[in-house]
Amino acid sequence: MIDNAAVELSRLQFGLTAMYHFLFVPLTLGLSIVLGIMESVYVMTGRKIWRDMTQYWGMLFGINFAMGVATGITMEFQFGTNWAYYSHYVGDIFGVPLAIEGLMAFFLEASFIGLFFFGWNRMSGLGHLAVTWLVALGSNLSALWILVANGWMQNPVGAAFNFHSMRMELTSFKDVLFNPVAQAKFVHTVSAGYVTGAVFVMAVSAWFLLKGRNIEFAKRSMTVAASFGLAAALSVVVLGDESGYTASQNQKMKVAAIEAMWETEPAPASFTIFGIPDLAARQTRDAIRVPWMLGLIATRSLDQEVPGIKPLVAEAESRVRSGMLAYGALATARAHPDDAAAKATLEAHVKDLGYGLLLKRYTDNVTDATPAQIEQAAWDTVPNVLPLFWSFRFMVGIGFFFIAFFAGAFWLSAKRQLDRHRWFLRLALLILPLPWISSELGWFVAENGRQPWTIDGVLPTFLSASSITAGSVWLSLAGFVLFYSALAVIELFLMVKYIRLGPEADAGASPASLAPGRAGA
Amino acid sequence: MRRFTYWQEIVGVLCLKAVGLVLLYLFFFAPADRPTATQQAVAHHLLTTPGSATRDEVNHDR
Repeated sequence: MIDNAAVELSRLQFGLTAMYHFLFVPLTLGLSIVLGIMESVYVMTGRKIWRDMTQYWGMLFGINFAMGVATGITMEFQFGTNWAYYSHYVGDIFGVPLAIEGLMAFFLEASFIGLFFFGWNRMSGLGHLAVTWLVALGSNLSALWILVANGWMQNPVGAAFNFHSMRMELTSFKDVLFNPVAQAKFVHTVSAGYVTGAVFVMAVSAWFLLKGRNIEFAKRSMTVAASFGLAAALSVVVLGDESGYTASQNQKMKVAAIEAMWETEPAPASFTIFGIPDLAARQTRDAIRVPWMLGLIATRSLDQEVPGIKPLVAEAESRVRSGMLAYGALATARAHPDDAAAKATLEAHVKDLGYGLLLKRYTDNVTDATPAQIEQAAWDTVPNVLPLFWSFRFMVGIGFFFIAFFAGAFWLSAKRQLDRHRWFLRLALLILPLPWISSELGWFVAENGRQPWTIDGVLPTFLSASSITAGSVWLSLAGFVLFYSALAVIELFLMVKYIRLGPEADAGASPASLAPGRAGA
Repeated sequence: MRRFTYWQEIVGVLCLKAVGLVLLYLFFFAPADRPTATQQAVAHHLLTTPGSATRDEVNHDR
């Protein structure tokens, strides 16, 4: 039998690893752009303070990069060990962007990071500036390929099932690369990273100002972060809207679950700002709704409906029935590869094969499933509504808060009053965890909203996991938690230590300080 | 003396991480712990039984 405990533990292990890895990624993305901006000003003006700023924030960037690098590699370990069936079934497609990320973006990023740190006195100002922007490009390209892979899990385009090899095979790399879900997720995710970088610079600079040290340094850093942060915060909401729109086109159940929308409303649908989803009664209690809003966001029209959970379950039920035909035809075609009728049936219903596989949780004989089992399998297509509903709302709320915060920071910056309001500086320091919280919530919504699938509509999660025991996953999970917790403590210690030391610490930290003179601007 | 502290700490962290990752790999994710899913194993997993093939069955298919 399938060991559900092993499946759930494998999910937990993968989720924790991914969330841990993503503690470092957004700061890398955001700080890399901040470094590019600061060094550009340095090269244009030749003023040393901008070089000091680039080097200090670069030093913190280096700590974050060193701590984050390779923490994601353990996910690759898990693909092989905990998700062997998944790896076989979709590895041909999923592995391509991961391999490209490893070969191209990672090496680009890692090589130029070396040049960034050790090239200050060995390269011209423009040459070093180009390196800094290439670090940013490399970081963003890494994110692109990872999100191409993830986007394919959400919307599996450019691939077809081969019953001989029992795997999905690539039919169009262009479709995989330009998958609208992947593209929307990419720009939304990197924008969130830029917000993280801006908030980090704001918070650390605010701390300096509150302590009354490094005033000019901190004010200039805040000025950069305020304008960059405002642009990024606006982008993340606008591009998040795009991400939501693509989800509404390709993952209707995810959108319905996020909205806890059980029935289809007449167009344009209202948006539920507050409510208590009742999973047992399949309704949302005490809902406060904004008319038209969801219809406009999800369909960008006034006359198109946004389907609710119950009608989507009814649709899933018919797909489960179609999947049963695909399943039976697949079994026949595997046994008799020349059976033309079986192959024709499989071809006609293969898009619903994954829905048929959902029945494996309930019966040995998928083709003879009872109506009750079919209904159960159809309801399995509904993700966990309650956490999705609230995670999404907290994420969006934080996103709008950042727009207000950075608008205020930008206004104070324009008035040259960034250091005058201590309440604002305290606020800037206090909100430091928020971008990480919203990013993790975003990933939670994206990945839990994809359940019960690893590949949406193609492969159920419970059939993707390897046949390993829960005990072995517990052991490796414990190893992960111990090791990654130790790393997290060291990361925090180093980051706090070098933040406290301030820009003057860079005099001892940067290789640039090992030789006199400055790169020519 | 302080000028090299930053790099010493960074290199130290990277070494610690390399050792930790190798240990994780050796203890939990080495080939001996890893089932290899062939097309026969996947077919068996998806089509034959409601449960999955055991690791022995999977490795048999190699």
